[in-house]
Amino acid sequence: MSEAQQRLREINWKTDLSGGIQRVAIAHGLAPFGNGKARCNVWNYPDPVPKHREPLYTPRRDLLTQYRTYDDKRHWRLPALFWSIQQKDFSTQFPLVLTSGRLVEFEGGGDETRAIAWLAEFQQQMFAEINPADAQRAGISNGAFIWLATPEGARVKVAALITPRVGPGTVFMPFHFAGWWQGKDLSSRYPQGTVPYVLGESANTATTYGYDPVTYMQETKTTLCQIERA
Amino acid sequence: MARMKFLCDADRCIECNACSVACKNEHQVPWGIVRRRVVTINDGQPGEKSVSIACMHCNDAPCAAVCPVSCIYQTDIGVVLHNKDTCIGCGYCFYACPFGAPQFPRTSNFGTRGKMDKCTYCAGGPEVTHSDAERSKYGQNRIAEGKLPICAEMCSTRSLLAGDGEIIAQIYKERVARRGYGEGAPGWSTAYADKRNVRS
Repeated sequence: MSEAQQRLREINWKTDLSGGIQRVAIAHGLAPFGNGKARCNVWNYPDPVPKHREPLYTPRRDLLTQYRTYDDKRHWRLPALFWSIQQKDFSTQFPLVLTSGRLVEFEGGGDETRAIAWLAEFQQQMFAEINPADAQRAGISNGAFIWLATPEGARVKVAALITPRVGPGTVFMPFHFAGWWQGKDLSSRYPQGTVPYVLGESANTATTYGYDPVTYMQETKTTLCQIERA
Repeated sequence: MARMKFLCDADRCIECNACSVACKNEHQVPWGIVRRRVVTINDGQPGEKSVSIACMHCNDAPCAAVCPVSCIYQTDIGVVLHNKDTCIGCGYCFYACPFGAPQFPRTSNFGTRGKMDKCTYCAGGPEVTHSDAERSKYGQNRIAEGKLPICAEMCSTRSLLAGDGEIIAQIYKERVARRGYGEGAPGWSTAYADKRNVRS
């Protein structure tokens, strides 16, 4: 190994704390942070610099004057509703914030991982995490089934996991389950021999309308809900 | 001769369950039998701690002491194994074990529980090494292949350590000294206290 190769092994743009490699890179018009071409001001996006906008279904009506969403948009043939949804107040009927997330045992919708006995055995039940204060108000005990309803009319039947891991006013559901539809077990509709070991309500049944204005990725992380004993 | 032990560094366990899943996969452990599990205390609260628990292969194993048919024995490297052909499924070992390690395939109030099953430290059982009988009753024998238990090999944060007790204890001591804190290794003193020497 030559001396130059040896030097390159020892130090590169990531580890050079003196800043020498970065200065030389900048002098030659290169971004010193690899291939990244991140822009601070993305002039062709709806918000060139990211700014906070309240979700379409929000309990914080007081923030709308300053942080309201976009006006309704139309991308070619595709209409996307923003303000016409946000201006309606659902927060009295649906006072809790619903968010969704991941469990370590499962991947994606979980159809593959829930069909692996070693993984399915560790999470056998679709659930919603509820703060003890909210559970007490709704008269829900740990492990009991609840109905979780969202503004667009969906109702999912899940078990309650009462934990201070979620703050008061927030409900969390994992998104790895499927096979139930609004309280009904649909396992008979799977092709023969393909029913996963565990089934449950899909979190996306409960999540509501809403799209990212650039990618049209659906809104899965923020909406409103109400819970009651099943 | 090395004395093999388990050590779980509760400050590092992230409750990923990789140890449990790896164990089930390696030994084809059926649904409902859990040779190794991750227990979380104060779940969702500040100070939450997780610890991976299985048979600790104790020095003076209480399961072996209470077994009425003496089917539990300790190997030359300190691994506690049992003979499923002798086991009568009485469940005494389950009551004696401080770690809840012994598992039984059937549950009923008055019937038999079936043959006890537990962590073998990936060391198989009394059958001929690598025989079909050993594999079907006890699972893989990684120790005979010169490998450590799959759970510790799989641990993503190196929280769960397996190997020569003196070496893994030294690793843990160095970790605690370097990071400046240590909740302790749960179960270590219960499993490996030298009961013949009770000076302290």
